[in-house]
Amino acid sequence: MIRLQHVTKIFPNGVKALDDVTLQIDEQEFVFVVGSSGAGKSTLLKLLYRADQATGGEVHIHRFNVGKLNSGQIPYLRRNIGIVFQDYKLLPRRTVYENIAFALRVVGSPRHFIRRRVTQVLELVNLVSKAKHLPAELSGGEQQRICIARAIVNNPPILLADEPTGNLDPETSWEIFQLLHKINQRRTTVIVATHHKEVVDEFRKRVVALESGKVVRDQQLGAYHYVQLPK
Amino acid sequence: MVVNLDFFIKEAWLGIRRNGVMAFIAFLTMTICLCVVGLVLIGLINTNRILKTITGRLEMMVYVKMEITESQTQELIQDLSRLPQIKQLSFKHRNEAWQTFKRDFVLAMPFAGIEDNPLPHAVRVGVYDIQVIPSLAEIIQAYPEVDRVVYGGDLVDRIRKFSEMLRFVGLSFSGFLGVATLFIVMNTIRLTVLARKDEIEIMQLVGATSSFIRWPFIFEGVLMGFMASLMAIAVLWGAYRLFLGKIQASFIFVPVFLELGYFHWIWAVLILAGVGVGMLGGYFSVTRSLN
Ligand SMILES: Nc1ncnc2c1ncn2[C@@H]1O[C@H](COP(=O)(O)OP(=O)(O)O)[C@@H](O)[C@H]1O
Ligand SMILES: [Mg+2]
Repeated sequence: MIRLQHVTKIFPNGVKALDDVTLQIDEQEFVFVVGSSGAGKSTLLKLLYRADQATGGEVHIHRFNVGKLNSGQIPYLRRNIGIVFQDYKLLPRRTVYENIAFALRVVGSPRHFIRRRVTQVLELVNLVSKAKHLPAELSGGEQQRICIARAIVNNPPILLADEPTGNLDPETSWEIFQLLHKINQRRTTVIVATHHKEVVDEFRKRVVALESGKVVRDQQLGAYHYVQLPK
Repeated sequence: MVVNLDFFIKEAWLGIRRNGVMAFIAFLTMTICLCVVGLVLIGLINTNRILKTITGRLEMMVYVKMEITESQTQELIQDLSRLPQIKQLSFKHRNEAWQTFKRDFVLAMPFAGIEDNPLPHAVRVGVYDIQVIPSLAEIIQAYPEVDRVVYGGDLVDRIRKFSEMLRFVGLSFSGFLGVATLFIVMNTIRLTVLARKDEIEIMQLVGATSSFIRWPFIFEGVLMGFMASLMAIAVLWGAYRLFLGKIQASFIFVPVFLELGYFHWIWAVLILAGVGVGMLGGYFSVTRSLN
């Protein structure tokens, strides 16, 4: 379970990226975080995986009081969280297989386990045939699927995706969202920051809307915008 | 950890290869630094051994005045035996000394005609500790019977001063070089760190601990230090074999040559120092990139 209580983030330059955000996300939920550029979506996700710290309020994930962790504890928080980036962040000189295996290796998984598990996630994202390719030899959609595979290879209970389809065409984006949905069905909490309006409408999942760092809407089975009510 | 050993070593070797020139410079500096340390150690061990050898042989000769008789000299010996610094006293009769003198220098000097013994009685004084000789000589000189005290303290003093200087200058120079080397190694490995910035970022995002992230870089430093220490050992050993003859020739009276046992000890120190400096360099190279 993820809990944000009165979370505020003011950057040193005075920008208030989050303003008194209180939010609870249960296990196995699928949540869209929407809002225009600069609304605070990325900042919100960064506070969750402790890439940044709130200046006010508290962030709790399971037993972790995220803001209070010391640097030695952060890795153990992150082993519970898979992260998907808009720019994929794949290592260009390593093959697809190695990119995914890397995430297991650096947390000390045994080799036989790594081999089995990487094959499993490659099957899940449907890219077994590209295992020996370099990222540059893959399409954007495929690279994003590798990034997702790497994020979940460690079997984290939470998956965060920050504009995962920001660089992709609508059709490919749709596939990516399908994949995220599939992962959610496998009992992973999924939080997606996006401004991909059509997809959000289509999925009819919980939507948290940010505007200038404030939660302006939090709706189950919501759509991207308020449904215009007849006057 | 064991699982990942080959991973770390492979990464470390890749890092060294990628850094080419810088890694070579770091390797050279380290080798030079270790050579200096090795030379200082060899020098210190040798001077200590020389001092010990000389100390073992060292004694003073106390020459009494010409008019002092044998029995008066024996009384002096009685007096001197009360001094705690003195280990051994033996009387040397002037006639005996004269016989020896004539025998030794019969060819070199025209003493044949001199029948009057010009030598006084003497006392041979052995001491426990070389340090006391100069002050002891002064004390003995103050006795009215004594004409002069002769000892080889000058040479010993010079060797000891050299040894002290070597210890001070050599060790502080080694320390200085060590720090400089540490910085060069650190900055060399830092190039690897920067080349792997993305990897480090991803490692951190997927939950690698800081110590895990550090290992490949520490290995890189260790590898570099180990290779440099082997090189330094080869250089020192080669030089020692090469110059041993010459060194020995100019110090015939003392054993300069070190037994193999001493070298094993020096080699161990050099490897430890090289590996240690490399390890520290690797460790600190990443520190700035971890936060
Ligand atoms: N490191 C930073 N330093 C200063 N201001 C920042 C920083 N990161 C983000 N901001 C500001 O915080 C606000 C929210 O940013 P962000 O969370 O990236 O928005 P979004 O992801 O919704 O586009 C923006 O006004 C942005 O300029
Ligand atoms: Mg953003």
